[in-house]
Formats: sequence, C-alpha cells, structure tokens
Amino acid sequence: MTDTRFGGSSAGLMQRLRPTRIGVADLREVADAVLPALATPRLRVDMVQRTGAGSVVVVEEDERQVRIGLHELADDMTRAGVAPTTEGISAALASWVAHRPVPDAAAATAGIAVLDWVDNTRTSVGWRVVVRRGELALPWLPSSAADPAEVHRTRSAANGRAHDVALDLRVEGPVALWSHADLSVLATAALVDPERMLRRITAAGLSMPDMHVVVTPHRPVACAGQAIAARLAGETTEASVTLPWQDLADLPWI
Amino acid sequence: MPEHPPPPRGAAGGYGIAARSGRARLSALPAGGAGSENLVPYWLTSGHRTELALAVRTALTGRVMHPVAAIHLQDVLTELHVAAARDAVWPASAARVRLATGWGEDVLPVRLSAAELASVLAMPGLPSGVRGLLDDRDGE
Repeated sequence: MTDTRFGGSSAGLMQRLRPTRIGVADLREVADAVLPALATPRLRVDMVQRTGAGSVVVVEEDERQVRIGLHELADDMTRAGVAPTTEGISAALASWVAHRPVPDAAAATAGIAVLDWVDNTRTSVGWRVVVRRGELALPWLPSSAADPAEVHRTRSAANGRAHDVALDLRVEGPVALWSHADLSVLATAALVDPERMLRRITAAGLSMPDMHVVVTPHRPVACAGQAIAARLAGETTEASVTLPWQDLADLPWI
Repeated sequence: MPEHPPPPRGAAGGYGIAARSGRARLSALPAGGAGSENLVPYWLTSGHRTELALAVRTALTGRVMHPVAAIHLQDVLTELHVAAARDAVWPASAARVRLATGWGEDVLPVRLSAAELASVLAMPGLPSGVRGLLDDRDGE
C-alpha cells in the first residue's frame, strides 16, 4: 500500500520506481533545521540521541507519543520515494509530523463525523471522527485512557459539526453528487442528516422517494433511486457501499 | 471546443485484457451482483453523447414506439447521466484508459445492454457518427 505519510507529490514517477536512498546524515541535518519550527506549546517535536544507539525522533502531543529511529524513518522515506533533496526531505518530514495521531482533546473540540472503511477489505463502512489539520483530515482513534462517556460525547459533538460542513451539490440527471471543495473525505459528512440532503435534492428539482446512497470514502457521494444507484455502482471495479438512506444511522462507529 | 478524434470502433474498457487476448475489443463484464445485465462500455466524446441524447429524446417524442423500446431508450438517457456521475465519483479508471489511448478528457464509457443498444440502433434519426461507434461491434 502506498505510504501517504510523507505527502504524495514529493517525488516523480522515476523516483518512486527507482528510489534513491535517503541518507541518515542528510535526514539528521534536515531534522535539526525543520523540527524546532514545527513545535507548538502542545506539540513537542524532538530528536533524541540514545546512548549506544542511533537518534530517535519523538513527537508528543497530549497523551499521544510517536517515537521512531532515524534509520527507520530514513528507510520509510526511501521506500515512499521521497526526493533525496533538502527540500524533498523537509517536506516529507513536515508531512510525517502532520500525520501524527489525533489526541482525544483535539477530537473532542474539533472532530467531524464522516464515513470511512471499517477495515482494509473495503467492503463495509462506518462512522469515524476526523480532525482537520491544515490540508489533511486525520482519523481519531480513542486513546486507552478515554472513558466510554467521553468517547460518546466526542462522537456526538463530531456528528453535530458534520451538519455544518458545506458541501457542493451537483445534479447529474437522476443522480445527486455531493463533494467537498478542499477535503474529499468530508463529502460523507452530509450523511449524518440524510433527510436534509433529500430536502436539498428536492429543492434542486429532483424527486428521489427511495434514495440510496453510494459511498466510497474519500470520494464524492452519489444519491439516486435504488435501480439507478445499482447501475452506477455495479458497473465499476471501484469499491463502494450502496445502502438506503434509512440505514445510515445504524452504521457502527469505527 | 477542441475536436477529439473519435475512439476506434469497438474500443472498450478493460483494455489490458483486450491486449492480452489479442482481440480488437472486448465486452467488459459488469461488477454487479448475480443477475445483473451485461453492460458493454462504448467510449463516446461529449459531442457524441449530446448527439445520442438528442436523438433519443427526439425518438421518444416524435413517433409511436413499442413501450419496451421506449423503456430501453429511457434507460439510455439515464445511462448518459450515470456515466458522467460514475466518472465524477471514480475518475481514475476512465482516466487510465484515456491516458493509454490518448483520448480527450471528455471521452467517457457509456455502458449499454444489448437491448438498449438494439433500441438505439433501431432509431432512424441516429447520427451516422454515433451509429458508427455503436454499430458492428462484433466485426467478426
């Protein structure tokens, strides 16, 4: 699977096919320059020298901590095809820090409910809390310290915020398409209130008494009558889930 | 609007399979569940899709037609929209074919059943350019 933690556009095709090794010394030099600027009052980003071992990059935010050896990070960057330049490594390092886990507090204050794949088989979807971080929307997994009531509150609040996500509606004949201008993963946020979607669809001049939704997480959402939804989703090899809008509320939380 | 060369007659999706089999074209099997009808992709430019839609609408309003043929033609109109919606949700697969073939950005696979195709070809008002892309797909 493609490693997206280092940003997708850092390297050209040839670099991804025949990656040039990222040297530990080069990574250390870039890390020394880049990491301090990424720190915030809540976010600690450090490089720690271990006695008798290589350096470790440590990222800490609230209860979350990520530690990775500099050698391992360099290898991961090589495999991901990061361009072996100062600019390429800098961008990859910043992207890697931006992909750090989402703390409970961030999810509680800024989480948004969306639909995502339940697992890697991409056969079923469930509700997930994501948090916007710059140009990214990152998934939240409750920490082991979070109690059930706290998790419930965070999910409920994320559900509420999903109502406020502004989406574009495009009507393509009998199909209504919903998309988000910046972050494709947010296209499914509207599904927290399918009846409101139906009202907008009706206002746009489309009658859809048996609305089914065709969901591929991170892609626009399509709404259509049952037969048309089946025709839409049945003629592609792309993974998707089609379900009547009434079933959306019963999907599990991931 | 730039004019794109029409896709070769009978060109279809799943080109990798076509290349392996050595056939000039193939019929892409639907990914739908059991019992779903076999729909075959026809790669049409935006202009050809507009011509096809206009011809179908004219046929539906202009003359007495067998009700079953009318249903098939309605389904063709639906498919023209669904093809665009499919490309909006999952653009990658058609984009790969366009990249491999050099076709223009507006070329999309329109997937028709045999009955829908037959109803379209039975329309006397079907423009010859579109007819040429849809007809004689077997060529064997």
